[in-house]
Amino acid sequence: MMRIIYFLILLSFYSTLLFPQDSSLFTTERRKAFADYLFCEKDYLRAAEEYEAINRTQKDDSLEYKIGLCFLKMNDFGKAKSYFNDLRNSFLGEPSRLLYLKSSYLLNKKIDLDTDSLATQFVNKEFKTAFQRLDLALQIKAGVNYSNLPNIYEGSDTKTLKSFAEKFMHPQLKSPIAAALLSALIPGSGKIYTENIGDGVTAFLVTGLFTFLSYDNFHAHHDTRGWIFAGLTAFFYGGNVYGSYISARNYNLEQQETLNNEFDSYLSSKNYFVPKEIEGDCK
Amino acid sequence: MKIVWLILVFSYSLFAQTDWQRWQKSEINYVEKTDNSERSYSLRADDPFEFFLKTAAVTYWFFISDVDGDNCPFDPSCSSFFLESVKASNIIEGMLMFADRFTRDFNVFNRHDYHVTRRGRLADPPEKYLLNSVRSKDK
Amino acid sequence: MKLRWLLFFFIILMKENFSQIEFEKQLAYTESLFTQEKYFDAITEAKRLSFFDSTKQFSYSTNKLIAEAYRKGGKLSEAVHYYTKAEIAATKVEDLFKTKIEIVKINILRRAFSLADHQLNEMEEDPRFVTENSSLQYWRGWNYLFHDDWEKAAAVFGKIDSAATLKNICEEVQKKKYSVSFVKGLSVVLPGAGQFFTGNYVSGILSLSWNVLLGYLTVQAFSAERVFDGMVVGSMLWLRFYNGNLSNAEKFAVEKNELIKNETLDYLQKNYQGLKP
Repeated sequence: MMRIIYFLILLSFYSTLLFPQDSSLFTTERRKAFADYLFCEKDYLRAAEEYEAINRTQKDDSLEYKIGLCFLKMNDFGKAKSYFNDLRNSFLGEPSRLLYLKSSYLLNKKIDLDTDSLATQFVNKEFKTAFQRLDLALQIKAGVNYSNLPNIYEGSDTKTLKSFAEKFMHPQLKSPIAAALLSALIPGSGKIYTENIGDGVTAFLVTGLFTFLSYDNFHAHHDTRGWIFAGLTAFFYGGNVYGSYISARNYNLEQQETLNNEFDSYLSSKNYFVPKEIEGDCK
Repeated sequence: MKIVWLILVFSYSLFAQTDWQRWQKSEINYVEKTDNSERSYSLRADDPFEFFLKTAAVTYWFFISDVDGDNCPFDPSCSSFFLESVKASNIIEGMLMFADRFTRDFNVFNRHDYHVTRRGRLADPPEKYLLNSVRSKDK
Repeated sequence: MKLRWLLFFFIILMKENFSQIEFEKQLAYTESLFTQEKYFDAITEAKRLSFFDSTKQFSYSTNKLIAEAYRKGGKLSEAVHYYTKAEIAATKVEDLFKTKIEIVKINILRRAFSLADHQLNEMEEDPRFVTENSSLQYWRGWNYLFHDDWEKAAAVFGKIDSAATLKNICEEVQKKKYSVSFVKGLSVVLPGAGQFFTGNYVSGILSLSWNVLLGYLTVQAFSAERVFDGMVVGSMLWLRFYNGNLSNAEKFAVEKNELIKNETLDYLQKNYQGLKP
C-alpha cells in the first residue's frame, strides 16, 4: 500500500512527463473560450486571430462568421464584407447577407448594386424585414422617390425617413451663379446670400472704401492715387465675385455633408436595422 | 478600491482600439514634439514664373513678415496662401482667391466657422477655394 | 475504500499540479515572446494565461508583463492601465512599490506632472514605504526635470548622494536658460536688443532698422504738422513693427529655452547611465 502511495505522490510531482508538450491552454475548446472572451472585451484583432487559428485546423462557418464580425467591429468593412459574402450560402447565410449589406454600405457610404439579388433570399421573417428596412433606407439616401413609404418601419421611423427622403430629393441649396451675380451687383451681397454675413459685410465695406478713395482722389485730381485705388477696388471686387461663387458651392457641399452625417448618425443609432443579437452576444 | 476597479472596467474599451492593428516596438522620445511647421525659404521652383513669385514672397517674408509680428490669424498665412493658390491653379484664379482671402482677413465680425489648428490658427487651405476643388471639410 | 480515497486525492493533486505547471509553462512562453520583442503576441499570451488562471495566482505577473509590453510599444496609457491592475494584484510591498514607481515614471514620460507629483506625495505618506524616501525624491527630481523646473530638480537631486551628476546637469541648464521677461525688456528699451541677446542678429538689425526708419517718418510727419500722416504711419506701421519686435524677442527666448531643454533631455536619454523614466 505504502509503495502505491509513494508512487502516486512521486508521479504527481512529475506529471508533466505524462502530458504532451503542447499545453492544454491551446485545445480547440479553450481557444474558442478565450477568443469569445477577447471578442467580448472588444479585443477584436486578437479574437480574430484566435478564431482563424482554430479555423485553420477545424474549418467551421460559425468561426468565419465570428471573424467577419471582428472585422466589422474594427471598422475594417472591406474584410468584413468579404467574409460575409463567402458565407451567404452557408447555414449562417441569412444573417451573413444582412451583415454583408451593412458592411457594404459602411465601406462605400452608398448602396451597392450587387446587394439587390440578396433581398429575395430570406426565409426568416425578422432578417427579411431588417434587410428590407436597411435596403430601403439606403435607397432613400441615394435619392429614390419614396412619397409612399412601405409600412415596414416601427414607431417614428417612417416619419423620420420620410423627412430624410424629402431632404435628399429636394436639398436646400444655393445657386453659385446667383451668388456671383449678386456680388457683381452689390459687393458682398452674394456672401450674405450664402449666409456668410460677416464676410459679406466686410467685402461691402472694403470695396466701398476703396471705391470712395478712388473717386475722391480722381475728384481732387490726384490721378495716380486714383488709379491705384481703382486697381485695388477692382482687385477686391473681382475677389468678392469669385469668392461668392465658391462660397455658394461650399455652402451646398456643407449642406450635403451635414445631411449625410445626420442620416448616418440616425442609421447608426438604429444599428442599421440589424438585430444586435446577430452581431455577437456579450452579456 | 471599488472606484479603481470601476474606472478600470469602464476605461478598458477606450484602450481596446489600440490593438485593432498589430504594432511593434516603439522608442519613447524624451524630447517633446514641437510644432515646427515653418515657412520654406527655398527658392526652388518648377518654372521661371514660380521662381519670380517665390523670390517676391521670400523677400517679403525676410524683410517684413518675419519682423512685423504675428498679424495673420490664418493658416497658411496670406502670402503663403497666394503662392499655393497660384501653384494649384493659375495666376488669375490665384489672384482672385488671394483677393477673397485678403477680404476675409479684414473680417472682424465672425470667424467661428473655421477649424482651429493646433497652433491656434484658423485653418483656411487654398484647396477649399479652387474652382475644381474636390472638397475640404475645414470650414 | 482506502484506495478509492487515495485515488481521489491523487487526481485532485495531479490536476492542481498540472494546472500550475501548464501556467508556469505559459508564463515562460509569454516571457520568451517578450524577450524576442514580440510585444503584441506577448500580450495575447499573457491575456490567455490570465483568462485561464481562475485563482488569479499569476495576476500580478501577467498584468505587469502586459504593462511592460505596452510600454515597449509606446502605448503609455495602456501601460498605466495594466500597471494599476498589477498594483491591485501585488501581494508583496516590494512589488507594490515597484509598480507604483513604474506608474510615476510613465506619468513623467507622458508629461502628467501633477499626477506624478500627487502619486509621489501619496507614497511619501504611506508608512509601508518609509524606507524608500530617497527613491521617491529621486523620481520627484525627474518629474521637475521633465517639467522644465531645473532649479527645483537641482535642489532635489542635491539631497541625494548618488544623483550628483543630475544635480550638476540641472544647474548647468538653469544657467544657460534665458529669462524671457529680461529679453523682452531689452527689446522694449531698444528694438532688436532682445533678438541680439538671443543670438538672432539679422532679425535684430532688421527690427532696429524698421523702428528707426518708421519712428523717424512718424516724428518727421508730426514735426511738419502732417498730423494725419503721422498718425497713420505711427499707428499702422511703427507700432506694428515695434510690437513685432517685442513678440519676436519673446519668441526667440522661448525657442532657445526649448532647444536647451530638449538638448538636455536628449542627452540624458542617450547618455545618462543611472535610473531614468
